[in-house]
Amino acid sequence: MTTLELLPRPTNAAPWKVRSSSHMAKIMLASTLPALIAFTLGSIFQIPGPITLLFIFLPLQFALAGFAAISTRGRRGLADSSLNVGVLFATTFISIMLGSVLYSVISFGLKAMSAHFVYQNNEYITTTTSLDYGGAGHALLGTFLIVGIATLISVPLGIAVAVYLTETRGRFRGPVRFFAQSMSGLPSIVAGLFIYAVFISSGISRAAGWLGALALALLMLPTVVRMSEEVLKLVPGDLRSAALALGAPQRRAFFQVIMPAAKTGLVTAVLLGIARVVGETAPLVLTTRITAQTNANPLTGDMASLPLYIFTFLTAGFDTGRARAWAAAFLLLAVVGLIFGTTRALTSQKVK
Amino acid sequence: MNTRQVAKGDRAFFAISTSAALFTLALVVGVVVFLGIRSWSTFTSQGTAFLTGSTWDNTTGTYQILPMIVGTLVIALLGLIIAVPTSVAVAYFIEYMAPPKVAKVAISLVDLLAALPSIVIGLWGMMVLLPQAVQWSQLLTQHLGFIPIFQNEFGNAQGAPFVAAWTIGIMITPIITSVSREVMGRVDKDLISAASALGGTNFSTMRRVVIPNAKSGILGGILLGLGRALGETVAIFFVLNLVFEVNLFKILEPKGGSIASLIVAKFSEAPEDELSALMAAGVLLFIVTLIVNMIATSIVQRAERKMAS
Repeated sequence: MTTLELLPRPTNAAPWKVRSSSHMAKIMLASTLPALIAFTLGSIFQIPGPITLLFIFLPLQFALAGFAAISTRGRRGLADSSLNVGVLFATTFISIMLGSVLYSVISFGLKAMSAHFVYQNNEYITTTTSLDYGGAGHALLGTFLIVGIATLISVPLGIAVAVYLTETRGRFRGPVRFFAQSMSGLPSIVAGLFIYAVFISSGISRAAGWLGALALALLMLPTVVRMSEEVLKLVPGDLRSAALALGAPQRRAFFQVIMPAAKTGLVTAVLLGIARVVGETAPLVLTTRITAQTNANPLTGDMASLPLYIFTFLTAGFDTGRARAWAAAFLLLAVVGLIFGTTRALTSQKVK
Repeated sequence: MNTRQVAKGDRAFFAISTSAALFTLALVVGVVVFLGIRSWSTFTSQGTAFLTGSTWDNTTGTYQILPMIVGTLVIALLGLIIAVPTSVAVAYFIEYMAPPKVAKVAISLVDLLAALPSIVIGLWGMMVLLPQAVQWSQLLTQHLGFIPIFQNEFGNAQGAPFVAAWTIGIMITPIITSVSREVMGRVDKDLISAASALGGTNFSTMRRVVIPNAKSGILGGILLGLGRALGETVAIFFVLNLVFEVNLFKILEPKGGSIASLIVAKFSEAPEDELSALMAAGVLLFIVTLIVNMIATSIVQRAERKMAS
């Protein structure tokens, strides 16, 4: 004990102390000065923005933050300050980029948005028609039909596979799980190409809504399998054992005990699967054909959908067309946002 | 209900789930086999030149896709160069730097953006990013033109791989972030506290504790992002110029390639033999992404098992 007391107390070892004013001043200067200097230099010498940002601001910020860190915390602070600057710079960069995506969809989308855009179709719309006429109602309907059919196909199939993975002791569980997960990276264009090769180029059917639905179901399946497997795994084993001990056959244990227990999770799995495919464009370009008319029959005829609507008007390349594409992108984003909001609400409910 | 009835019902239940599972397995094999059969004529008529040549001409029936393969890889790699450091930084920010309220919002936002339809990114890429990126690339050529990759003889970067890679990088960042954040969050908090208690700084804790523990998960996320980047179609279809000439590193010249975009660009007016060549390209794309995803899946599964134990 005596040796410890003999040691001189380091003067700067007081992490609980309120930071001194000179310390705060250094930090404040280090965090504001670089931006200020870069901005002034940039505007005086007319240097383009990206160059100012990358070659004046960033090195200056690293250097000043490093100096501040060394003078307040010693050499050990240097790495920390660089970490902070790097992380914050990267985060700001990507926030601006992705913020720009969201902002442009919302601002450009709302400009062309109107009530009739949601329910009218595009018949009689030419390149010179003003935005007061026409809309993406037929595309919205088409998206609902195509995604609806895809859901009807992939959800029972996906949940059955998840049952195989969790409830049985089947021999192929490893490979099935592995392939289902690997399939989640199936390029959407290949799914479309597959359906195109099987049904359209072989002459079985013309491009139609249900073919698009098949391609989307193929893309949706892995998500549904993986998510529902995770959800079913979370159901306590005691519930399962209790049901079986009471003499219930396994199928009734599943349908009457396990599935109700996992209900919200399964709904979330389905919704995430839908969110994954609702904006897929490439498969629909290959398997369906755009039309300006409303078509409520997915079995025959051309059928519009929101992604295809955006794709077509973007390719067409005239001003009102681009405005319509933005508005349709806004609708699409709203649909995805709605799905996500619902899943958030469901999962937070479950935690309570 | 006697035992025999129970057994019968259960057997049907299991039979249904087993057949669904086997059907899924068959589906993966089926896609490869079916597209393989349809494209067989291309592989036999073009031979290895299909992979090593750079001519695409449906009047003479020559179909060679080397420039598209190179273009796809160049764009995906450049996209990763943008996305990987950014994603890891954002994941670190969310898990260890942001105040809890900001982190909560950021997590939802990242998950939402990971599901952003690629056509929306494509729309943004063409209408908002492209004009900007063309200006930036002119600056690059002007000031850093002595470095070979920034050379541009065309004076215009409209349709260059640079812009496409930028778009792809923005698109896959939320995907990689979402996976990396999850594994970073699962690193044992006691380990981190122990590192700080031993006098570690934030940086040394990240380098010696967080990254080594989350390494395989982050790698899995990167490979998932790579899979998306390789197979992406509509996000880059509008900003990329498809040229049948191998462009290995001049990323600012308007000469690019992408297998997926090639399929969309050509399929609608393709005669039978060109269609078969497009399917061959599709098979190639599928096999490459399948391999990337299989590696990713096995890495992530192993990491999860390690974390669980």
